[in-house]
Amino acid sequence: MATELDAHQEFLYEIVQKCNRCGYCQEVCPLYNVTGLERSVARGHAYHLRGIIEGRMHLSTDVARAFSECLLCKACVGNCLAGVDTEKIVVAAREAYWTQRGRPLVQRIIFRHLLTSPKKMMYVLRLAYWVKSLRFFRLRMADRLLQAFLPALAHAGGFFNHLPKKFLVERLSDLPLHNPAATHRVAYFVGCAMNFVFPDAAEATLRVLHKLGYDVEVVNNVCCGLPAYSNGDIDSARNLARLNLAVFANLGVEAIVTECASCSSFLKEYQRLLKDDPIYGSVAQAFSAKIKDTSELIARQPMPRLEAVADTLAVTYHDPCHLHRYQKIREEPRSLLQAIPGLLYKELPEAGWCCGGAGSFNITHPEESAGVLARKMANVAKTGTDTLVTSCPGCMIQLEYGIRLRGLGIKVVHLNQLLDRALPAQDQIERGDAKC
Amino acid sequence: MLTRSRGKYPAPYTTVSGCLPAGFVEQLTKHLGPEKVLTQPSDLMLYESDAYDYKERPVAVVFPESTEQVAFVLRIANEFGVPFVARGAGTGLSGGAIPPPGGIVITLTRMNHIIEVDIENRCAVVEPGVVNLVLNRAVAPYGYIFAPDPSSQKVSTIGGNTAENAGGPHCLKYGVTADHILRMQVVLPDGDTVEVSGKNPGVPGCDLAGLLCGSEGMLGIITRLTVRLIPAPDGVRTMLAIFRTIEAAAATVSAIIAAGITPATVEMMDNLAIQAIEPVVKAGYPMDAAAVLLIEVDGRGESLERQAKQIVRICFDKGAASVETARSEAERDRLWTGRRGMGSAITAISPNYANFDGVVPRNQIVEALRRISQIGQKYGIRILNSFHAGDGNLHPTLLFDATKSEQVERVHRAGLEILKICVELGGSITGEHGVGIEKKDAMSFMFRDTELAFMRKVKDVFDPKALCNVGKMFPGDAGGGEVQPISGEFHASRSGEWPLNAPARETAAHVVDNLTPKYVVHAACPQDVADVITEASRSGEGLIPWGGGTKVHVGNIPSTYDAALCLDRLDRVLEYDVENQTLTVEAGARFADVLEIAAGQGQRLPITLTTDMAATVGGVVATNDYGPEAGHHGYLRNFILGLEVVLPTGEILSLGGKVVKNVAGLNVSRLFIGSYGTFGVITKATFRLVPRPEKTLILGFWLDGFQNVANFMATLAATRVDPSSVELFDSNVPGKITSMRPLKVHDPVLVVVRLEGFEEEVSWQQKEIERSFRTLIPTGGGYPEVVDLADLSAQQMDPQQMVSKMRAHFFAADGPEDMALLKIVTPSTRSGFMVSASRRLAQNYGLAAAVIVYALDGTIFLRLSRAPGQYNSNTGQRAFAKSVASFIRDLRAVSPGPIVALRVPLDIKSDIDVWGDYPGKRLVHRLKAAIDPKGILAPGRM
Repeated sequence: MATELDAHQEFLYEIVQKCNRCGYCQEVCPLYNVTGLERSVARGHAYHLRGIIEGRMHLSTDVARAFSECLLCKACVGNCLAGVDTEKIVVAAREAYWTQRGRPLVQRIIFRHLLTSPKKMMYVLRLAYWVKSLRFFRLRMADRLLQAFLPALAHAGGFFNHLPKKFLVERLSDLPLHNPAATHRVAYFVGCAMNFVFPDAAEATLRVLHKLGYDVEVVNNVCCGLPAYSNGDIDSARNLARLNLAVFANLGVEAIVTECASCSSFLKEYQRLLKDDPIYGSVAQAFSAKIKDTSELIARQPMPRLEAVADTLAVTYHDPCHLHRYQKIREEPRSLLQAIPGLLYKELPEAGWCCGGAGSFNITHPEESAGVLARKMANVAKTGTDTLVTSCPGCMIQLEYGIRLRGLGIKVVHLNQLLDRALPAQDQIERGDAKC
Repeated sequence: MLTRSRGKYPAPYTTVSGCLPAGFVEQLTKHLGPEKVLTQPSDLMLYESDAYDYKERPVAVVFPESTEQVAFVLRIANEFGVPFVARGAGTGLSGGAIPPPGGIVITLTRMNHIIEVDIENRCAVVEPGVVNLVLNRAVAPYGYIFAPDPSSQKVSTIGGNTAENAGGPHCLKYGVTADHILRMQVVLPDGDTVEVSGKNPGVPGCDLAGLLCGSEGMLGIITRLTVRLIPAPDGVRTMLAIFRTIEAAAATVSAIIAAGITPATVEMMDNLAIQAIEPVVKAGYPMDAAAVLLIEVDGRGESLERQAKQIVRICFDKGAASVETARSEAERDRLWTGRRGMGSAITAISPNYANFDGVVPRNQIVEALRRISQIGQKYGIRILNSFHAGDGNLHPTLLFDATKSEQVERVHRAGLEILKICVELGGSITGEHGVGIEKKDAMSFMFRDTELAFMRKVKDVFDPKALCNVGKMFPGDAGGGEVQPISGEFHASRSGEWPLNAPARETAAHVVDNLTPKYVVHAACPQDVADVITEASRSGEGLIPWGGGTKVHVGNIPSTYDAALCLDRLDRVLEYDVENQTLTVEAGARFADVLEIAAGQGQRLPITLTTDMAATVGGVVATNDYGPEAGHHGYLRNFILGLEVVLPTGEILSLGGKVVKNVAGLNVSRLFIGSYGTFGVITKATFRLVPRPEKTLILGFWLDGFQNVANFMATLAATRVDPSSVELFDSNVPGKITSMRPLKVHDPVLVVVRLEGFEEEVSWQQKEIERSFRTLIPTGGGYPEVVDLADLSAQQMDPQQMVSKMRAHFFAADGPEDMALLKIVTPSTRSGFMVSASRRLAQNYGLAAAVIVYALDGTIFLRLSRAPGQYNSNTGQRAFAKSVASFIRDLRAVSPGPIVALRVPLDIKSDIDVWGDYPGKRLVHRLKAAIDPKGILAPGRM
């Protein structure tokens, strides 16, 4: 099976050749600022891949480790005068390595079997949550078991503090989705992390959409494929993409929305991912064009008058990489936040600096991730706000973890959770509208 | 394993890296910890190059985190004979951070702490791995900046900036990195740690810091730096002028500078650059414009407005088609769009590009561009020019495709030819990128074998085992290299022409420390000097170079003194290039004459001497004399562009040139600054001049005792007023030397502040000072109080004259025998303490002291004589001499900085070392032994 590196070697060589090794990527690379190592900065990645293509270097385990040291935050890409797309370099190298080496069992199970079936994933997570909820000594044992068999996952437990009793898909029946009077019909893409970790926030999204008068369609979608893609399993990512394209086909909605920045950014990438696919190519094109992050969708709509939110005084906003660099969405979340009355908005210093979560990076590289997080936390503490808002569950996990660890006592919420509370109930909105 | 190699890609690269000696890595990991040593091939590969296209894979990469660890690594490297190179951010463009074959890379990015921000002394202490911009962000809240701003400043480290003597767009106004480095801690290649210079750089000894700046990491590894901070400019005006001819654009640049305006930036883009940028960036430049000038002035309020208007007028006078002035930050960004977009524009139109770095004198820009375009045609290469026009630093960008090897070859040849042109036009092969590997071969365009051999000799003194970043800078060799043997064939025949047995009257006029020379020789040309030195070298006689004879009393007693080598006949002004603001003069010319000539053209050399009118240029350079303004304008080394020197071997060295930005080779000319003629005889010097300020104002007021000096200077620093000098006089200064009395703690101190600049800036500073010091000045501010001082009060004098008269009186050479003059070098904030300490000590020894302090850098001059009661006692001169000797010893014990005995009774000269201990002394002695092994020049004096 041909990897990206085989199939697009010339294209990739063109990318790495553009790098004139000026080193300006060092400034913006969150990881380099922690490690200080050439191997964790864009210049190093480009140099490694160039060496591999030129035959000066084997794609050895050491080189692969270097390629694993990337948050895929794309900070370097925007900063690069020569326009080197490091994200593509890193993903292609990861794919080539794992294809050559044979993908580990855990990855195969997750990317090919779990992510393709939300049901199976639900069972597995139920089990995992149950283990975690057990009493102390058993938990220790579980941790040890993990250490022994899956060291990469051993750190995972610490990131999840409170676990939801009911996942989002189990709550759907109680939620208002359909709105017969609505003029706008949208489909909602259920992100895995939203579903399994932050169902409350996902619920808030659905309520916000409902209050704003949308008719929402929820289908049985699978994972967007980003975790597989980031780990270089592009094939699995394509497979997941095709599954999703199938379930969203012929819905006749005007937009497909999600509040997960990672999902929306990757769904928008489907058109590139399946560009050469004879069957799905054109479908993907149309699909990606319809993808909207909730803030992107809402910010363009006329907003009813928002109400003050109780027990939240001052907020600051963290830009998820997948929202502000991948999708260039920066202003929308801020303007929505600032529209909430009685809320002091403070700009977070280095708001776009990656939090270090980066999907599973915080689990696979706990030390480096902690270093990146430390900088974020220092900036968060500087703002003196009581609530930290963001739009990506990956960031929320990482930020909550950092705040808990430091005892900062700051709430982390999804933007839609605040909006949900600020938006008056729908009947009030209607009455309010009538007054105007 | 996955390996790929296809015909169309370059063949697999094989590195011939030397094997590491057994046990080397083990030693390093054992001491530093495994996480600080990289040895995996995948990691090593990434350190085989920097931003320059050349590869040499290191055998290990280490990440020391302290000076001790750097020293440890170097000691181990010495023990095992492993060559090494220091690396910062790896952004250098000449291959400076590429390791020597079989060598290790010492990465300093983890030594990235800002140790101290000392606003009172206007400096910061940093580790070498601190990123330039990070320091600037750290000092921004104080309203200060670290001025050097190479375009890599967001990532490049201060250690790297210093080692390469980095420039940037703002050099024209603020100078290069070397102008902003005060003190350094350096680990020498053998693992020894030395300190060089100080927070107050007026230390004795030659200018080692100047030598180390721009030494491209070949003399040692910098592990700590004290850098100068200056007040941040308040505002900036940006103008964009479009020209139909290159000549008009170049003439505009010269006219602006001639008008006394020093813009912060003048960037020029030629037509080819515009044609490349505009379609990609869409900055709004007309495609048919011959040149675009981007001009920025910075400063304060109204003066800024006035300068901007004047620049616009000059632009139109010289034929600009249009001029646009930015009114807001957004507009400024728009004007810069084209220049900033250059990088992305080039990558959009060409797969690869090479950026060269030649310098020409400002008035040769047109000619240089014409010849560069000819080269472009000759080699069929597209060349864009976008460069720092203010200082003539050209950056021709050659576009090519690296996959076509014949193109690479053509670019290389064209590049070398461009550099040759720069040298032909009186410039340099590199203004800010350094020589490194890239321009090794071009070094011979600028230097003869003599100069190169001398540079190698200096390198050998620092690095005798040839381990430290070897294989760079010197053409054609890969190692430390052999020092060329001294040619012994000199024509002694001419010596007959000199009056060897000079008349007694002549020899009596050249007595040094009671020693009368046998001969007095007057040289009329550098070759004469060379011949005399050769002759002396043959007969083993000691020479003392003689200029105006104003400072021959400084120094230890000569071990031999056979002849005075007078340079008074070498007194011509060779070239005064008014437009370029450079002046070349022979060493025997009187310094005062040089100042007068410059003044005639509205220019100046802002150096106030401590000696009288007779001082010569050579003497001033050799003694590194400076005045109270050095803390602001800089020391002599900041104004010397080139020197001609005759070495103790009789060889004539021609160093540097006449361009402001020049980082070609080791800056060995710095060795002769402050060397008191012990390394060589200076025969010629080229100075950089600056425009005279539009307005000068002298403020005088009283301070209630020296204990308030630190407070005063701190308040001054906080106001961000940037006076060009602050001088403190105690009330003993103007009086007769014999009537000096012991002063009390609260004895008033006269503070003389000199403000210079544009009218509006000066008056803003005046207001600011008066406002801030209302509480500090018991008698109120202003000049009238100044004239009350002692016996000068009767004369109605211009304050400037009065201050210089007071200074001259203080430093007067013809004092009585029982007088001593000391120079104490301390940081500014410590000067008050040192004055109090020395007064108390003086009293203990029955001495009275008069004090002048150059408060900006903290230099103290202390004049000692007998206290009134003690004067007529019959203990006599010997007792005085003994008291002075004890005084110096005691004071040196408590002083944070070196103390130089400028003038002391001869009896004690042999007891006390005149120079005392100073940073880098050991190095100076090692250099002396290598450069003048026979001890011909000023033997025993340093």
